[in-house]
Amino acid sequence: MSAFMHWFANPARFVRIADAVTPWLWLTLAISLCAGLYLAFFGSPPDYQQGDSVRIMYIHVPSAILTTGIYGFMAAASAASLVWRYPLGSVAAKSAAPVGAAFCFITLATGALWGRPMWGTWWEWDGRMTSVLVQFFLYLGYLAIWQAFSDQRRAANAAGILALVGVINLVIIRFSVEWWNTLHQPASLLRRGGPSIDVSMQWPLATMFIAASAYAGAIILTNMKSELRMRRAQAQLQSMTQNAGGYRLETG
Amino acid sequence: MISFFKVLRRDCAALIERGQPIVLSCGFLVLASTLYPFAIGPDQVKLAQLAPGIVWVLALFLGLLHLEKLYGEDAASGALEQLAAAGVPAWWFGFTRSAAHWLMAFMPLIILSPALLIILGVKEDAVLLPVLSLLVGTPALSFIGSWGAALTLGARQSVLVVTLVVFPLMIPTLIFGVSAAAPQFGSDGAMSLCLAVTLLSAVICPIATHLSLRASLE
Repeated sequence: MSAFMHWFANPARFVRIADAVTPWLWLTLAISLCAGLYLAFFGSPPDYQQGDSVRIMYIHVPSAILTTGIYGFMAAASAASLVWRYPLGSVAAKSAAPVGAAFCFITLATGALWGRPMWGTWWEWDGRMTSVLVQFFLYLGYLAIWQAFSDQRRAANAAGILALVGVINLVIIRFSVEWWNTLHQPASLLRRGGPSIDVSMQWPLATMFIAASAYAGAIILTNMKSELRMRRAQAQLQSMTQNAGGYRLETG
Repeated sequence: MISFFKVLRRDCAALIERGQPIVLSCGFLVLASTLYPFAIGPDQVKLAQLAPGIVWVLALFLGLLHLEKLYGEDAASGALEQLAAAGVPAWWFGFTRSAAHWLMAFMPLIILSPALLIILGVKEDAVLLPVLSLLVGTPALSFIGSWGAALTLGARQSVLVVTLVVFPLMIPTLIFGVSAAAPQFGSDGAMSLCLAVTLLSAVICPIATHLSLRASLE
């Protein structure tokens, strides 16, 4: 495992691999998005209770899974950066954060759009919804930390610590919110372990999930590449200005 | 160990000598809690129902109010570096600054809270539980807050950033604190969970403070 990580730690090698992988991810996205949208709109039946509103699920559920998945990826990358000084860790975490935040927002927005016709309300202080909202605030805090420091190494350190503390917080939040919610209003609108989903709906869901993952992967890899180039350009600028003697350029 | 307690005493004494933050806390609490009856209406029953929640929300805001002062002055004057050079480990600041923060923000709150609760229509015999919940729960807010202040030390617009960072972390404390304060929910577990959050943050936040401060002191 550690040998694998060291092999990957060379930024030039990473860029080469990312360059090779990214076009395939875009291709996967194009195919699975077309297929997924077709299946979602035409290839699957409306739900017997929810009607056509059920089709919101094909965007909502992949976004919700990726919201958590990307946070886990960020936390793992931050741990690699903080503990093993893995050089690509902070780059990966920083590149993934806006994507995770966007999926989190989509999860909340599509949930609200679905909730209005189904439950008759845009927002319900349901346990799961509330913890997604808190997760959204965590993402915003993480992004704000990166913006707040002009010294990028300091920002990387602070953001990494926040991502790891955030994991602990997410676990506590999930537990506390469930507990709080059941205390206030025992009758939850979300059916726990309700009727399992029909096969005709599983296919579009799986395809859309592949599309969303391919999109996230392609964007994160592209972000990482541009972040690496940015850092290299800044380092070069710095050495240039230092060689020019005394003249300092404001960076960051 | 002796030098540890000297740092603790120094941090707390500096605040009490100045006195200003404590006055600020008291002023904020009195003003903010008198606004609620005007906003909600003078209905005693309704106010009494909301009172524990109101006091806890005020506690959260109060905690945020003092965060920027925790490290700013000592970082600017170089006192933090001096203390670190003298061999005070960074995690100890996680405790001393939390204690200082608690004295600034929450000691006035806990002393004033019986009066605030009674103004908000709570009966005398129901005052004890909310005050106890504040006593048990607010240290968690101080630990979390002082870590946030250490994390954003030297950041641009640090007030905004620290609020955004710390706010989602304080929500569990709020949930357990309010539940422990309100007997109508009838759960004995809430107070122990409140204590558990305090103890957990007492362990995790000084470690996180240590990591955050070490980066800024380097």
